[in-house]
Amino acid sequence: MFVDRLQIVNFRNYDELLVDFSPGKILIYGANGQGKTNLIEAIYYLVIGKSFRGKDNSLIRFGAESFQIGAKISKNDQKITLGVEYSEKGKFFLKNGQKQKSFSSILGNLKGVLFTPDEPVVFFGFPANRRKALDLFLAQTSKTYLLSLIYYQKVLTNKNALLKQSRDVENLIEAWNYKLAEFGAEIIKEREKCLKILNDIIKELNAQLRFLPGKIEVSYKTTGTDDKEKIFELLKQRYTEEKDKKQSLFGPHRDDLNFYVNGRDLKIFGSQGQKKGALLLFKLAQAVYMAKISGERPVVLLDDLYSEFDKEKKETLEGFFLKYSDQVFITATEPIDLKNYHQVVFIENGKVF
Amino acid sequence: MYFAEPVAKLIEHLGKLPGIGPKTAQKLALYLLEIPEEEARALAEAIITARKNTKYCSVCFNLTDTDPCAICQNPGRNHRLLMVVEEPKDVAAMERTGSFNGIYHVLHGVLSPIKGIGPEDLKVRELLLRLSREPVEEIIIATNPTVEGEATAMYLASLLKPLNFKVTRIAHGLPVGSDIEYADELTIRKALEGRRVLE
Repeated sequence: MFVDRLQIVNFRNYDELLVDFSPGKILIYGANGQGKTNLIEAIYYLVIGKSFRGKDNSLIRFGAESFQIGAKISKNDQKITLGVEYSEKGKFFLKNGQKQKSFSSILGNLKGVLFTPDEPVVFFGFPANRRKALDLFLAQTSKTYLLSLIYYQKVLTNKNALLKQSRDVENLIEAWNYKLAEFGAEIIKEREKCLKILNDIIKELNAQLRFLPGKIEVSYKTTGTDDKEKIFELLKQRYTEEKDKKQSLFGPHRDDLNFYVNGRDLKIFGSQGQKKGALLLFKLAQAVYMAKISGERPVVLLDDLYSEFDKEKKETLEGFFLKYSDQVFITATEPIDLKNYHQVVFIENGKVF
Repeated sequence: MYFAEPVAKLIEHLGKLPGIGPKTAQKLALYLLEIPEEEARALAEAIITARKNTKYCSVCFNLTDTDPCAICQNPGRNHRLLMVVEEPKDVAAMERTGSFNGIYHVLHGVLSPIKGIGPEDLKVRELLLRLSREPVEEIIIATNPTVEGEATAMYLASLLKPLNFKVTRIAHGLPVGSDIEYADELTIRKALEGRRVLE
């Protein structure tokens, strides 16, 4: 799939913008602070239903009261339009002009993989950030996963509220544990299945790209199991512990995924370069997974790769991304190798040339 | 827009109704002012009569004008089969089908720790009490298939099963007359899990 047309109003430093894109490799260039990343942000907004770096109310252009993002997407021979409008009153999403109940009903319509220079630090920080990254990817590829995640979160919020009550709630907690175990097992099962595949893809990609010398391994560490009966038993046995701490201690919301190079945990022992390389492999693997397993080639957004890699490595990487996606957006401050791109967009002060 | 005091007051009251926003409230108020006076009066009286003459049945807690309610009093209904529902509107929905001949028990809500609603806020104690004196054999739990409805069903089952009642849950699945392609994925999976052999 690819973004055919992007239209944004009062978003960040753009007042009104309408730009048509071709499939293939697209270079977005311009000096710093002109709005390159804002454009990437707008496209990715329609992938995940929010900004990857700011709160909604901070995205409205100074002096305006609302922002809008709309895109025409080409998918095989099919065209769909997606849109979002945000104002102080709230936000709503549109698909083919029809108002949606929530973003979750259109999540997955525009599939995307994003890489930004700030991401490795965040990704290799708290476990919650890694879970979020994995969830955002899986939710795009599996509707059941997304729904399980939504229901799990609802049950979890209720269970935590129950654990915070001062009275003994053991007889009440089982009803919530039962549902928590059901959705939790589902989430763990899907994460394990997906990471096993991603792991194989990453190994193969690393063998070809030689990003990280040595043996790379991604593993999923769970505090539960993929068997709902067993999680239910576990939660039952650990009731006192959870009640003491006043929170749910076991299940997919406490899990983690770890990257190892030659058996050493990257988040502890990895250099900045290794972390960056590993995350790029992970992102590339996501594109491969989407193209091969879910059968829909994503849109890839690579912010500021030039500052990260030398020319040769960057070109190999872009080439690999293009193998598994229909459209790759690349931002840069300089117009280098223009003939390598299917389309070149120059940005200055919120205007496109 | 400016309205005379009595009209403004009417708009304000209408705006408090569920599902009515300020614009609809204004539209309704202006409509009520245009219709013949006797029609407006009839509406007002209908509201007052309904308020005055309905109460909750002391047995099943459904809305009723007699106590016990017509369903609880009806010897033609199967008093060994009891259905637990969330709200009076669920009784109405079930009665419209005409396919259930048992009796009801209305919980008036569902468990929701985030809203601070526990079993003591629902008609759970009342349910256990009536079960101890009525000849009920099977209890059908027909709370909504929402997260809260499911948890409430599980909770009730954990209370009732040790008392040797047959406890059942209404089936989940695809809405009749709809297309599979329009159903959400979890509904389809539930429907798949609940599949039956065709006889």
